[in-house]
Amino acid sequence: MKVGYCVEGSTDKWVLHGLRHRWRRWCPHVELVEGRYRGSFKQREIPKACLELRTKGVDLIVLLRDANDENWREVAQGDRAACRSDDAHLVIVGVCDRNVECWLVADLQYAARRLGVTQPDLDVEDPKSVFDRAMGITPLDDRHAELIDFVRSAPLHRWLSNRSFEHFYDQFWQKSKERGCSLENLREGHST
Amino acid sequence: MLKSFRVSNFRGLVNVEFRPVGSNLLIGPNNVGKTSLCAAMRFVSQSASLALEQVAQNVVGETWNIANAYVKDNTLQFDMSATLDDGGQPLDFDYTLQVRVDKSTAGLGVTLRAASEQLRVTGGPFSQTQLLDCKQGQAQLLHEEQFLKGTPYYAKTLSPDDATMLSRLYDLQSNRRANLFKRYLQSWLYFSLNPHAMRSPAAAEKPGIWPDGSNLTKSMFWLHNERPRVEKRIIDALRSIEPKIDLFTFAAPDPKSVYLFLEDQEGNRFGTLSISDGTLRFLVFAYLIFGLADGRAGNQFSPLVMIEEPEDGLYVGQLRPLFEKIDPSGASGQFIFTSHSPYIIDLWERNLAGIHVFKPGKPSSVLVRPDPARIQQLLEHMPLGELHYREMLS
Repeated sequence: MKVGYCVEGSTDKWVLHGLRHRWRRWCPHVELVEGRYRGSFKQREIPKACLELRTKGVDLIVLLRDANDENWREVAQGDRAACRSDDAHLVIVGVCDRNVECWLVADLQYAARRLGVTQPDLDVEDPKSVFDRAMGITPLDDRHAELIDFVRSAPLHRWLSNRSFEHFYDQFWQKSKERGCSLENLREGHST
Repeated sequence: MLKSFRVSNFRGLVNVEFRPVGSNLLIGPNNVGKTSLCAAMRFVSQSASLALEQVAQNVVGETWNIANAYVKDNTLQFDMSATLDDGGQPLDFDYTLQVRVDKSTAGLGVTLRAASEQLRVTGGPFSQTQLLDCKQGQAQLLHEEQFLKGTPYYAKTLSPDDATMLSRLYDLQSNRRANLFKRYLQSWLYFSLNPHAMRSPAAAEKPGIWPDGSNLTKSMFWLHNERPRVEKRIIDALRSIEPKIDLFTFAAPDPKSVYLFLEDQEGNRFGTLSISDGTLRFLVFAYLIFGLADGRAGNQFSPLVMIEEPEDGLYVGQLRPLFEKIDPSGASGQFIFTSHSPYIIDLWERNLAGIHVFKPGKPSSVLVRPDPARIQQLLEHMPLGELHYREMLS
């Protein structure tokens, strides 16, 4: 299964790669195909981004971005509405409630242990700066190996407490299943 | 007209085949072989005149690394076919050249040796007729006049090993068609223009713009004196950039210098130092497109011209009307451009057969011709340059 993606930044990208590593047990033949960076185009360009990925033969398209100060549900609805009807059945719209770091620290206990900080340090409205500092992410070093490992080992079933992640996961689970690939069922507590 | 050119084991290119049409655009990311393909073509072109090592120096600036670093083979191979007009008779030529790259016995650099060379012709009385065959230092040359009289025989001689046999052919009587092919190869032109060179008043002995753009002033001076109608067409075209231009004027204080001026209707003169890089570049393109098309009348073949990155310093909107003058059939010249500019790529939307996309790979890049029918469908959604930017062409 080829999964094309348009993400907003390098952290989002490595989160997806971490999920792919994690779900390799369930879907061994998943290949990720990189599209345009989501941060570099507007909603009106979503149809072109989808066409580009479809031309490259993808089976699913992930559009992942941060809501920042907006309501993540409204942003997701807007992105979904921007998709052409031909592409809608392929598209997974992921919008992080504020930013992807909120997903990464959804399980405070795990995140604090991995990052070597206290839970209160991470329990803030916008954990991006704390997370980046603790992870050592800089403009010149995206710490991709560490991020992939962070996601691969995370207790993802606890991330479901973040509604925007749950919304993303539900779409991924459903659309993968439609393509003959049953992902890890986080609701049955199969995560490790 | 060049129909196909295949190169193997030359720099980053292994078994790459190029099938050009009249107006061609080579595109692809950096370091995939666009310039190397031009270099391979220049190598074959110059090998019809010069010693192989001199050719390598001219074309790539060194003899080191002329063979592909990842292929354990010391032979470069070039195969090409072209159709040329021989007094109204179209003749198909097939030419193969193998060059051996040996480490120098002195331990410094490499030596280049012509390992084998064949030239065949088909058309009229000829059917895959071998005009020239060189192997292991022995050469056989068809005596064409005798062949036409029905008593074919091959002159046998020693072939040079530091140059091609083609470069040593001078007998226009007995090797007329082989010499026609040789002259065709020699006529190929390549340009990677440099504003400093285009501005230089230094004049070579003969007209003709050099690959970096030098000798432009001398060439325009020659055109002014010998082909005023072509000069007029160039001035008309140049008015799209410089609306006030009225005529070209020149000063030639000595045989080695020609100064070019653009003069407006009020008599103000602007020398090459006052002319923008883009205008000079436009002038060279206009010279090539109009000048070579005009010169075609006296030639037996359409010129082949390679131009690197024509958009440098030029607004693409200015280039569009000029490029539209190029006959896509190649009847008045075959053009090969390299570019990274999406807006230049857009100019090929009506000539999809002329798009050639290099894709990176090891040991060699791959040259792909996108399927025009598929691209035509995608063009309904976005322009050609954007399709390239999104890597959707191949």
